[in-house]
Amino acid sequence: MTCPPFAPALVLSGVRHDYGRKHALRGIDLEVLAGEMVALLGPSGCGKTTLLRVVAGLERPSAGTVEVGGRVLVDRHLFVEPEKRGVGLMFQDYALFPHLSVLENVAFGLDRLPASEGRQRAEALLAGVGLKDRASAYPHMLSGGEQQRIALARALAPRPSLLLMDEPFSNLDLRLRRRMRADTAGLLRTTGAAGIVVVHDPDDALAVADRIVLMNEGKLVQVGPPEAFFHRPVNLFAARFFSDLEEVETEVRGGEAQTPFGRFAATGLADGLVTLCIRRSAFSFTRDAPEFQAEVLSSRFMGEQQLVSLRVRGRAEPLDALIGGRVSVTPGAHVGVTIDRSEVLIFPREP
Amino acid sequence: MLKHIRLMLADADGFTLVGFCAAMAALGPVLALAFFALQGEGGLWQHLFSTVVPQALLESVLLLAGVIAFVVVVGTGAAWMVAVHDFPGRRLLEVVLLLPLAFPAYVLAYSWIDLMHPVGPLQSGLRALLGYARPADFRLPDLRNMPGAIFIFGLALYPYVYVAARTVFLTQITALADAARMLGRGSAGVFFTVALPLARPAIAGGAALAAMEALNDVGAAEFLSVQTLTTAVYSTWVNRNDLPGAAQIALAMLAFVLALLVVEKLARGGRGYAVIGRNARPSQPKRIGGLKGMMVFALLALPAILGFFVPAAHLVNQSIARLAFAGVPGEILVEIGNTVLAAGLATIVTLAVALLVVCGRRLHNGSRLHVALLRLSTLGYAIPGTVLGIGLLAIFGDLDALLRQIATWWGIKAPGLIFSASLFAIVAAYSVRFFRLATTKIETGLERLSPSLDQSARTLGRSRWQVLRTIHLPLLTPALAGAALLVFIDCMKELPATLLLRPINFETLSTHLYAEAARGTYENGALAACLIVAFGLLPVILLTLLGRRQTIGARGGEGAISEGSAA
Repeated sequence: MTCPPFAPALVLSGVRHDYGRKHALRGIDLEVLAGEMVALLGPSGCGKTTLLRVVAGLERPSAGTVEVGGRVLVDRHLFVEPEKRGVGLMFQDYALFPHLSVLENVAFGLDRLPASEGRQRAEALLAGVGLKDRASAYPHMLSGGEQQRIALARALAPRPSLLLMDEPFSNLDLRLRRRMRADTAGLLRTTGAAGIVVVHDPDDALAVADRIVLMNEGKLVQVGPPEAFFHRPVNLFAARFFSDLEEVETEVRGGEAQTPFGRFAATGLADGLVTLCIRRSAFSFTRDAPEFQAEVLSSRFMGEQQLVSLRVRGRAEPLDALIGGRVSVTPGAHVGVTIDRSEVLIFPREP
Repeated sequence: MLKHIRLMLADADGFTLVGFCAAMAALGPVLALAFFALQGEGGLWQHLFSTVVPQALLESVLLLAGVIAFVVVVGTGAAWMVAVHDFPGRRLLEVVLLLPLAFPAYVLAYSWIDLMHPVGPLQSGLRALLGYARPADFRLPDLRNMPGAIFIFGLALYPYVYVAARTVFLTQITALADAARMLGRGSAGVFFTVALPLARPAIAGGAALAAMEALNDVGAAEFLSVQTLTTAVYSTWVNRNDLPGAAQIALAMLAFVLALLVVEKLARGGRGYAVIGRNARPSQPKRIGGLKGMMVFALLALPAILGFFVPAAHLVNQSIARLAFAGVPGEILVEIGNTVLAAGLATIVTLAVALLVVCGRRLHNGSRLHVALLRLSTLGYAIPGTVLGIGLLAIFGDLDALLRQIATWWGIKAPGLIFSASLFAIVAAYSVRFFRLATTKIETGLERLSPSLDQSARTLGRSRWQVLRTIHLPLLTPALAGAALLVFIDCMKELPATLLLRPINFETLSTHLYAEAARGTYENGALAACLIVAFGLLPVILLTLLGRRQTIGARGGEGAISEGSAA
């Protein structure tokens, strides 16, 4: 991460936005550092795209301030139009202008430069995304991956200090997607621009982001580096978003939670109802000193691991565990199971 | 509330100003009418509403009821037969049934009256055939009465319903009709239980358009001796020179239009167009062969024969005879020039303003003010030409009076009529009245462009105006061309407002025709009528071509953004 001798790339404080009666954003405070890549993640309708549009200037927030590179763009009295913000935006559908050639598309934002200089810069960018030979093609002649790269080159052409991307990978197939994630992050790093990328899929967020912002119902749920979402999710919603969990509804009494799989220490939690989550990969089979016994119902081979469905006494629904791929399992067998206790999370139940 | 207004005004720019002017141009004539109507003396008001208005209202209601019944039965029936049946000549009928659209009602009336004249070609021919010597011995019924008027208006206007119903039958009904047939419904059952209810909103829309056109007409009703509200307004102004009186009847007429729109809304049954089975495969049309098929063809060809081929043939025939007898009359060239000048200017103004208002609404995304301005500015479509004409006369008359006043103060020689009775007034009337044609076309074109195009152009540093210039304008060229054609042709055919507002001695093709008919010298107007119909054929041809390409494909760039596949 770049440390700031510069002003932060983006500062949002108290940003609210309403569509009619629907509250799309309910008080967002966020800071993005210069050169940092942030992924905005959350279920559909959580407000992540709205947040992006507010920063781009396509929506006027009903309250709050927006600052980009130390310059106030929105406050109570001020609203800077999108064309005067110097913020790049890349759309999910790429929004290439169908009547302009690839080169003209990339040079579209460079109309303030002398023509020859604009052309040179556009050509350099096209070379940067490996599409120099497609300069005179038209958008409908390009493949999805090529369109994505042209859209990226076009958004970067005016050298924005902040580039916003709205689900840039969602229209690509899996193989292409992996490559484009790496390429996009790499290209953005070379320009030094900060990036905010809206993604749908946690994998995309992990692949590109220095920091992840998780949103739900118009609010920030958790902001932090990717590993924090694994190890220290702030609530059940955040934990579910990144891991496959087995959940047990139970209660804490005297600092301990009782489950069909044994007792678990609940340090720092008051007595009351809780949801106890165990990562599926925390289970392993053992002969000596098992914590509980289970009957194998079925297993499914998944490459390096296998998903084993278990029946446990005291629990109605089956338990799914991810076990090493080489352990031999037969349906109907009785096995002893242990749990890696560092992979257990306990959250107070939300009312 | 205050905050909202403040935000709206902070957001206002040139687009807002143009939208405001367009909305004012549409509302102004109505407001002026109300103002003038109040100025009329009470006695006159009483006189009008006890003698002229009830009669005109009664005849208008009768006429519209008859026309609506005619167009619904003929239009829907023809559409149903052609859409889901197969018989000899069906393809031909599909197109030919559209042709009466080329005839404005007043031209059709003009042609038929001449044709049916006791010593005209039809009656003379029949007498020769049947062996009668004198016109007094054998006579076809006169057209110049209410049934005749319903017949003529019906023939000219049924295509509105035909087009609307056929679109629904072709795009939405087929899959459902198959389902109904599988459930054991016969052909008639499918029509009455599935097709008709589903097409009802479209049929109501088409019938309302036809009714508005019939109400708007000034020529045909007069030629056919039917006194409608429109002719009442017109004669109150022209014969009595009584502006407040005309304004009063015009206001009553607006109330009538409002009632008509309410009826349409009710007839739609509160439903919009259902979007079911849009991409359904067209089902196998039901085959009608042999003699029965030929009879169906003959029956369905009748509206096209009576509504287009017979009157068109008569007009061509008359024109040729006239040209052979006297050569090309000089005044017709002047009239063509005048017509093209007025219609051309109006087309340019309408398209330019419509583009700014429609794109302004889109570029001010989510602004309710701009939505309202667009709605208001398209109101002119519901204002009959005569009403609009009287409203504009009222405004422009005042403006001219003001100018004269100023001129006298300054001691300059008073100018003539600058606003009223000028090309300016005609262009204003056309633009207000046909504004909606242009905005609808442009909106349809814009809807096919992803909003993300505008937005990325904005984030790449272009202002709203530049987005309009560099993105919308080049991508809207086909839509603009279509809009230009429609507006131009409708301006060209316009009669009532032109009659009221034209400068002295300024004749267009339509006013020339009207004058000849008023004088009873029908043969002299045939050439003008021919030209109007010939121009009127252009949009019909366009409509046919569009109908052929059922879905307008993503040709060139327009739809390409959504494709995303390698070439």
